[in-house]
Amino acid sequence: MALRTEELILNMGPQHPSTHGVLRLIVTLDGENIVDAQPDIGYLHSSVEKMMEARTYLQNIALVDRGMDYLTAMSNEEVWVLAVERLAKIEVPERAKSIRTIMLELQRISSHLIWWGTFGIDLGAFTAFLWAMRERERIMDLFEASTGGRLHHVYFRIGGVNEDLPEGWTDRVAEFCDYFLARLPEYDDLITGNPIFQARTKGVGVLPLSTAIAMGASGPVARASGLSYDVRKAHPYEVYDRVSFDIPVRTAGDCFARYEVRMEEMRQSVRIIRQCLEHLPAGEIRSKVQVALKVPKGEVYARTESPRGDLGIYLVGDGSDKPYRVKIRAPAFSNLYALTEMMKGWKVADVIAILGSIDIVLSDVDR
Amino acid sequence: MSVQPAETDGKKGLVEQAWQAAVGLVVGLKSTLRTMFEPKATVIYPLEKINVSNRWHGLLALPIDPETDNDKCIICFQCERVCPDRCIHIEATGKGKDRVLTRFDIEMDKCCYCGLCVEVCPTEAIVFVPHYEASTYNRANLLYDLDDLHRAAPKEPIATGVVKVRRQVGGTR
Amino acid sequence: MSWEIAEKLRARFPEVELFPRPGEGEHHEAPPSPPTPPAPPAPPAPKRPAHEAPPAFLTPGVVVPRERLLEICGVLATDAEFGLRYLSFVSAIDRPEAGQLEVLYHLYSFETKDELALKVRVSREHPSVPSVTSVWDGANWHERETYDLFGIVFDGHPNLRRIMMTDDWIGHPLRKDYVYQDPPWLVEAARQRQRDIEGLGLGERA
Ligand code: SF4
Ligand code: SF4
Repeated sequence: MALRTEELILNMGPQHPSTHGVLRLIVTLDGENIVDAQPDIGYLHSSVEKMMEARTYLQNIALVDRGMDYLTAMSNEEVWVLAVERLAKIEVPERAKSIRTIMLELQRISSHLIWWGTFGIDLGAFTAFLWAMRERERIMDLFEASTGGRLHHVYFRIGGVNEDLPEGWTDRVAEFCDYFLARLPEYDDLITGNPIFQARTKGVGVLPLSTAIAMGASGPVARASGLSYDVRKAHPYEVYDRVSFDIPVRTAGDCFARYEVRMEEMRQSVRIIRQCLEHLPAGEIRSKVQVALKVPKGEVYARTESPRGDLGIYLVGDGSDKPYRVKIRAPAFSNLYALTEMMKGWKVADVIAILGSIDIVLSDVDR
Repeated sequence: MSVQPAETDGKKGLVEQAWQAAVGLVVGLKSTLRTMFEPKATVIYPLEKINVSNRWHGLLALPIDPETDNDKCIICFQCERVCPDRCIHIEATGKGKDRVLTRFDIEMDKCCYCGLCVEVCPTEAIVFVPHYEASTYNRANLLYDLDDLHRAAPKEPIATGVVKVRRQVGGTR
Repeated sequence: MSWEIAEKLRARFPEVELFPRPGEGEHHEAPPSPPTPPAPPAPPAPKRPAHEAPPAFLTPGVVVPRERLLEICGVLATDAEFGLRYLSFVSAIDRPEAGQLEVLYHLYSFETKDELALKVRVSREHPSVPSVTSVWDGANWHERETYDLFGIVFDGHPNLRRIMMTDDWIGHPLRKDYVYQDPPWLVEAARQRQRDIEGLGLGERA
């Protein structure tokens, strides 16, 4: 009867199809049960913060695009220009604000789509990925038409946006909104209502609210645990104070709750885009800012709600045309830390489900 | 060890669970089936190509202006200065009107296609062209000199819609 | 965005030092500029004063003495008066001219939506501060990152190892005096590229 058991240390990654990048998970197992899961990160560290100190404020827009979370380039640009605009006290024309909001929400949908697709793959539903990519392709086309880039846009500028929207673009966006809303019920048919999917996510990887806050989780991960907090509502930037939208909140804190929150967020994003399109003001898109902008001495913390959570930049200016110090507060970094708590006590087969549900991007974690 | 899930599911009969799974499968398959008869979302890439938008950040070029039979560059070094990756290298000789470019190199392997050089150029001398197939077997081939940049300029207007093209051997460069 | 919380903290702990508040004059300059073209007035003005003008701290914050850090953090996190239950990040700013490193904490309260930046000044030679992991669990990785990139030792941290760089890395990259050197293979790759370019008959380039 007295079977001798030992804890087994299992290395997952850094090359593992479902780790969404180069993440190494050191999982300590007791039979099938997870005793401990420690993420080992840093494989994608590129020291963006250091590189930013050597570039001008304008050049840094091109850098935050790819140096931070590469799936949400617009959100990265947004938090960067927001920090600079606040410190340098630069006004942004109304039209530019609306355009930015539309772009940010499109970016949110596209990022959530990637998550939805890969989450499907993680749990064995390959169709989800193909469908998500199909819809995302349309968003990419919209981005391409207005910014010229599909992943890396370099579209936002300090004090506005680079170019005005091309002709007929708003109609295409409206069309996409209709198309996408019609697709979402199909997604529910395919994945949400699937009993296998539910069995693998419901009640799995629970993160209690108090733990979520203590560990610094934010965004959909924290909202699924019952934290009704969204930077877009609490500290509105751009035109978020003028559009109406809801913050989806669930209290279960499990993988399914995180799934539901993101699905609902996509619907809310469509709602925001439609309102912005309706009230898109005419006029300037960019206020005059020199190429070699000199930002006054000072410090500011700008925060935004990226698709992954509370994305912030602490900017220290020293009066020159380059930032003195930039601290990027990456949401996925803190969310990944909360993973250690979510994993404890679950089966090894749940690792992938839990990891997929927090939606990390390793270039955001490592920067 | 903390609580384990799925205890509630265990109460349901196996038959009921199987029935639910079957229903879920049918509902999912129905969606899949519907999608099967929708128009194709993909193209057969090397044979078919999708045209890119006219703001596309493709390769950089210095198009020849037919009026002067030369590029429009006024050698102001703005693009060289603004480039975040410092991949533009310009040299010129002569003074005033006689100033000519002796070197205009872009290291396309370092370029991040940000478009800042295009944005700051006062004469629109440097532009993006809708080429995207620039891969080579050797990084050295991605150093574009003045000749290459002149040649990469689009000679024909961009077509719209999906075009079928014959498979090209060797590529554009 | 209110400075009240910083003042409340000073009322309780007189030894904390508020960040210099944004000057009145500066604050009133900004709003009138948008109607007139905003950029033209800006360029000539900041040229001189940019380096001389007092820094503008737009995020409320306080400088805390190192010895009182843990105590103050405990009060900030648990006392209902402050309720800063959320630690956004821990980081640092290198100030070589002052011979100091500023450890930076950003705290947030979901109830009152107050935010507070906390700074602790430590020497560059032997920087160490008490770890706040006992107050906010989430500080764990952030402190490791700060240790990794700045070399600040967090006393009492459960697992103070490098997190971004490899364990055998030398130096702390985000310090201002850090010098990066390409590893040999990268130098060789650059040389190879140079040789390739010369082989194409393009001469000495790039
Ligand atoms: S697109 Fe950007 S990186 Fe490329 S040459 Fe122009 S400025 Fe440099
Ligand atoms: S910015 Fe334009 S005109 Fe000036 S050097 Fe570059 S290409 Fe020539």
